[in-house]
Amino acid sequence: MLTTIAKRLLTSVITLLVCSVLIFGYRYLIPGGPAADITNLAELGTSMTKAQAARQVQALSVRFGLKKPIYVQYWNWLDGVFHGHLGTSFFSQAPVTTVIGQRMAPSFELIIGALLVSLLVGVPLGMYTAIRRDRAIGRTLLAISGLQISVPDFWLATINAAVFGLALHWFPAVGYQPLSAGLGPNLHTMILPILTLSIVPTAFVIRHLNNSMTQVLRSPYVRTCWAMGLPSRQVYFNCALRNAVGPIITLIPLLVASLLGGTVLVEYIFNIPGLGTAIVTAVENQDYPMTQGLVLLAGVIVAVFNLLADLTISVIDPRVRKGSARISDVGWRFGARRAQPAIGLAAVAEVREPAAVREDVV
Amino acid sequence: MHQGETLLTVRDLRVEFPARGGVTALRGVSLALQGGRTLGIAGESGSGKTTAGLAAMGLLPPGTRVTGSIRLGERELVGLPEKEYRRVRGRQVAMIFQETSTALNPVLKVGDQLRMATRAHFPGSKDDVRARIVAALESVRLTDHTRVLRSYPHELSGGMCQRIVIAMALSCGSRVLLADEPTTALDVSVQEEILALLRTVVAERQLALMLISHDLAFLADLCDDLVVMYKGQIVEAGSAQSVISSPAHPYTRALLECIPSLHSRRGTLPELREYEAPSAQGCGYRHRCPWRADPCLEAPALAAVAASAERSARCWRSAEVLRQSVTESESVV
Repeated sequence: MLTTIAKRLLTSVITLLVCSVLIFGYRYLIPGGPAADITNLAELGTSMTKAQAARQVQALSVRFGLKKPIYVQYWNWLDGVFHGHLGTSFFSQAPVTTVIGQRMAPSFELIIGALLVSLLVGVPLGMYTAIRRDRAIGRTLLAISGLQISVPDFWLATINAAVFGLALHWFPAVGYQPLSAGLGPNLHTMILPILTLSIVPTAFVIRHLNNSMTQVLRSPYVRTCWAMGLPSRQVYFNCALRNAVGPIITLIPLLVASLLGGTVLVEYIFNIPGLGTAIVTAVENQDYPMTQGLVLLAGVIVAVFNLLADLTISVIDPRVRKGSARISDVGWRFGARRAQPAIGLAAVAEVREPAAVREDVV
Repeated sequence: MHQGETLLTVRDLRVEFPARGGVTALRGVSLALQGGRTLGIAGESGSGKTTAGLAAMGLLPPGTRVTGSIRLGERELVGLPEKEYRRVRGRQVAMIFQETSTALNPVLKVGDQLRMATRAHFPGSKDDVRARIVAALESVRLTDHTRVLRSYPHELSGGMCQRIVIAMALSCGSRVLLADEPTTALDVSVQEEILALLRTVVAERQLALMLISHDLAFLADLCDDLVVMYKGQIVEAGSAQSVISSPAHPYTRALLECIPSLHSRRGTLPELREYEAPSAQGCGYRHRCPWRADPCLEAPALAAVAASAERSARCWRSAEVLRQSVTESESVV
């Protein structure tokens, strides 16, 4: 077990290193640069000559260390990362870690909240639709979850804010109360965003669990349970669920990745000062240290969830526990590992669901 | 010969699947299972042999129309509500299947699975349950209990898994055991072991065993009585010994000719076209039958064969077929 964890941990570190190269490298895809941007901004307010502007771009580039060779820049950044320094923002001059610290709470609350809702609603419904797969009720619920997946969340967020916030006044349409203001006021502002964000993941959980549970319910060992006269409650919960839950556990890191992307929009629409809004501003401003720091954080979060998912699976399934090599088989099978290197980028690009998941559902 | 009590009686059992376009899987099947005896059910795929087993277990898919009677002692099982049926399954009738290693849950320890099944019927103390399970494991000759109970199914061989499933049925208290191709997935040497085991368990615990297989040679080895099914009907019934040595139905003869032998060329059964509704009139087998004649346009009933009252066949010419079989077997000797 210990070697399994060690091996798996090593994979995570390698993945994150690859991820960091991608994160660092992708800035070259964006035209212009922070120095030019800042200068342009400054130019608007003052009367700066072209020559002055060019000089300022030069000066800023030197100050930001952008004149050094790219690998030196990368190494300096990575060195900082290992020492816990993610650099300082080009714009606000605030350390990136400080900004993350300030912005983390609302985003984490959104993500964890939406994840919990999707599991608490999705697991029972996924089981139910599988058990009742031959009945109208099961098929109807499954069809609804299919619609749910195709709901665009920017649309849903806007509609929710308008209907429940502006028209019905059940919840505030926009705004955020931190947890420090008390759980009640905090939840009052967060319930609508969390529910909005959880719609699509809930549907994913339902459909994945329905799929795996249906397979498990057709399996010979479940038939044995019936043939030995086990009560249906025991067949479903003690016997089948444990076998069917594997794909859901590997789905969780993917959901976290897609939720990270989802927060960008939801935070924007509900005006919540979280990581999502921070990332948008950072990308718009070409604030390299800020963007890199935030995306790396997203990568780390997803990697941690991936690691936890793999370890949980090895606890649940003795076949995985015995041979550590099998862990990666399971990972591949459920398409979790495949998506990992791309996840940092995916979070920014706001890819709603990684391709691997989509294949499974179709 | 000692005649055990009759544990399960099936009378005129009909099974229809309206969901699958009204396919009729069983068309009036009657049989009886007695304690200490083994009944073999032979037939090709689609003959309804597995359906008969599942019907007795009440495990046919919802929406299936079952008529006729399945009596377990004094109790009528056809139409029994699911809640009560649940208590019958495992406790009185259990079924084991072809799958061996996948018949047990891969993520649960064997001990937990045995405990779960046993407790569903005998909610006693931990020690009582354990004692039952150990006794059942002894019956299937798994003496290394501690290790077996602590193992996961993938750590055990297919033969051991099948023994455990049998033990599960025993520890749940079943006296009627339905076995659907229980050795097909196993190595030949292991098949022999399981067969020998079934034989001793039936004798020791006075079980009524129904053995379902397509393989007549296999059934001949183990069964006291034999029933041959074709298209949802019994076409021949009798003691295993007499049916095998001198079949009275052309279909039984054809099945026997399919058994590979060292000395003669193996016969092949004409292909069966995909599901073909049994025509209302005429013998269901007449399209493939080398013995067909004019009377076959009318369906024959399952009638006693001339030679003995214990044997019956569903064929107009059963007497002739039997005579031919007897002559052939004598000429071989």
